[in-house]
Amino acid sequence: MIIEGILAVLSAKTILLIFGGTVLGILFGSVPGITVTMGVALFLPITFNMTPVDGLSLLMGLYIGGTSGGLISAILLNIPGTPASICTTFDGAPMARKGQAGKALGLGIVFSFLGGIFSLLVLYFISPMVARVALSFASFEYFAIGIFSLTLVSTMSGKSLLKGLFSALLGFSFTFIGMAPITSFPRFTFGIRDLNAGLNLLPALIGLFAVAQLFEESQQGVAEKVEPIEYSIKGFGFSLKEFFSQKMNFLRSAVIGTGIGILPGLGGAICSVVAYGVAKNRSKTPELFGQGSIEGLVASETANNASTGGALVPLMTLGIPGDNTTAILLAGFMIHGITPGPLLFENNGVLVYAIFTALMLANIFMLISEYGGMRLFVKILNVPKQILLPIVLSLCVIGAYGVNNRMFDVWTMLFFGILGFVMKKFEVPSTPLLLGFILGPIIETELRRGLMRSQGSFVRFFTEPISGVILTITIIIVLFSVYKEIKNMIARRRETTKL
Amino acid sequence: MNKKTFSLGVFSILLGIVMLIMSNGIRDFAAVGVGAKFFPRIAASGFIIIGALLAFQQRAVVSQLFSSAGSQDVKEDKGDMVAVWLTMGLLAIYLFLVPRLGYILSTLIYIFGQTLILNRGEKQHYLRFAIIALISASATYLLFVKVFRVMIPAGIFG
Repeated sequence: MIIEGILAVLSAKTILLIFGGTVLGILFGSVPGITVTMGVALFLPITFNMTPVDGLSLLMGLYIGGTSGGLISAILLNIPGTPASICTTFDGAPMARKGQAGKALGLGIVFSFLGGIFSLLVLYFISPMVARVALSFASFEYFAIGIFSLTLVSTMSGKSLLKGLFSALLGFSFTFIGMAPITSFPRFTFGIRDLNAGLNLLPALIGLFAVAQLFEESQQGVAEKVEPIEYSIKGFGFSLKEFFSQKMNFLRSAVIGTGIGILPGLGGAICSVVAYGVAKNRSKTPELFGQGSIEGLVASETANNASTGGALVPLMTLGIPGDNTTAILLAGFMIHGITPGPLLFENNGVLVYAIFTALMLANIFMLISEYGGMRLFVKILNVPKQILLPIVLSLCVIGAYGVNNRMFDVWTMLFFGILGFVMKKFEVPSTPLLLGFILGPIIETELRRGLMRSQGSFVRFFTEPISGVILTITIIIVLFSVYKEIKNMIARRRETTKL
Repeated sequence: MNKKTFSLGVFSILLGIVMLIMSNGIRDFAAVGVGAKFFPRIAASGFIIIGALLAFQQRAVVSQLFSSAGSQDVKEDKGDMVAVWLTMGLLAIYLFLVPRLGYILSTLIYIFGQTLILNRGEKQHYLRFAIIALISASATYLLFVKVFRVMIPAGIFG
């Protein structure tokens, strides 16, 4: 099965798709304001006509390239291309200002690659084990996991847990539109025939993440153009001594990145911030952090790329997305009729190992193309946003239309774009909405199935060992989140009173 | 302190009430367990509770602010809302035109218009923007239709 999986990817067409995906991903990641999430969402419809191996390989290339691409603008423009490269600006940009842009880029690229490979090995060895355990899951366990995943809303909510919950509930409610699960009775369709099949995830995603961004940019106006810093690079820009001096820092940051990446909902940005903080605490020269420290740059870039393999563990073994981008990758599996989860390893083992191989190749291509094509990426950073954004939007229209070849989905995209913009204005985070949208049908269907099995009794959900444990953990997390929210509220009130 | 949060709370309550009323029209068909209206009702109740908490939270803070002398509303930078309205209008026109004029023509008009909106306040290079719009509309059409074989409305050229 492993060899079959590897061979499935080793065709000229698939390799070219992975390479193309990686290069495009780096482009999306490197241009500030255009995110990897947007890139993956845009290219999803293109994968419709491809085989699952080809389609998913392209998406994996985009994912890996996009996560790493943020380092280019972080170092040369002092603007993070992706949220995950925020910490890279702290030391990468000062290094560039000191005339060490080449060294900063070289270190960033090499440690991004190593971080990605480390997490891939973890994904390779851990996910089959998790999948074996998850094979014994039934409706009770899936319902419990769905509910548990909803608690991640607290980590995605930003400043206000209540607004996060509102957003998740809104996403959940959008899934009521269309035929009800099991009984297929139409709900909230308002007599509109197009709504009978429900709202499609993809136009909603493109709207929330790409169209809303366009509105935001329209409001702010296009900022003054920032010229990238000139750079020159010899070899990888750093010595072997400098490379080996970072081995402990690398290992620690890779473990942090992969570990946090596995926890659903946290994403690369948090991995990078935590790894950066730990590296600073452990450093013999913490005063250099923020002034152009190699350690800071290595910690940030290792951790954010190490989160990629980590975030794929819950996606592939349980069908739960690890972050925004993996949520879209989940849609990528679904449009090919494949449901990620433990059965994926049983029924589509070849595809699983093909994906692992595609990820490995994407990491290698990322190293080669970022290093070799650096000048091209720097040139693209010079293209003004007022020209790039309208072109991206026209691609969004193609993406949304391609879902079902109907304009209804394009209008849905516009609706979610306006909704995403309004939500931003009301400081309501949009990621919980996405989580509610994805988990809603799982929770509803599995609860109703479970209740049919237990003759209408809710007790079985708590007496089944695995679901019982998961639901208990969920209750503890909810209570803890509420406690934390109340504590924060009291602190905020005290501050307001002082004012 | 935050009128927006208060309004959001009120909106959430209203949404919950509307959902609760509308859920009455859903037929359950459930002999065992819960039916099709169970989750809409749970969500509706959730909206009402969250809305009440949001509104209550802000009411308390607002009243505190009013009671403390010299407190001022925090004014945020609103940016250019006219540009947002123009972008929304242009997008709506674009989507209306796509099935009628086809992808290339409507996209050409959209990209040109959107570039002008985003470039407001700067020198407008009409000819350069028109050429960019024409090249990008044609290039994306050829790439997606001919290479990736994605279906796109052909419009009057169809």
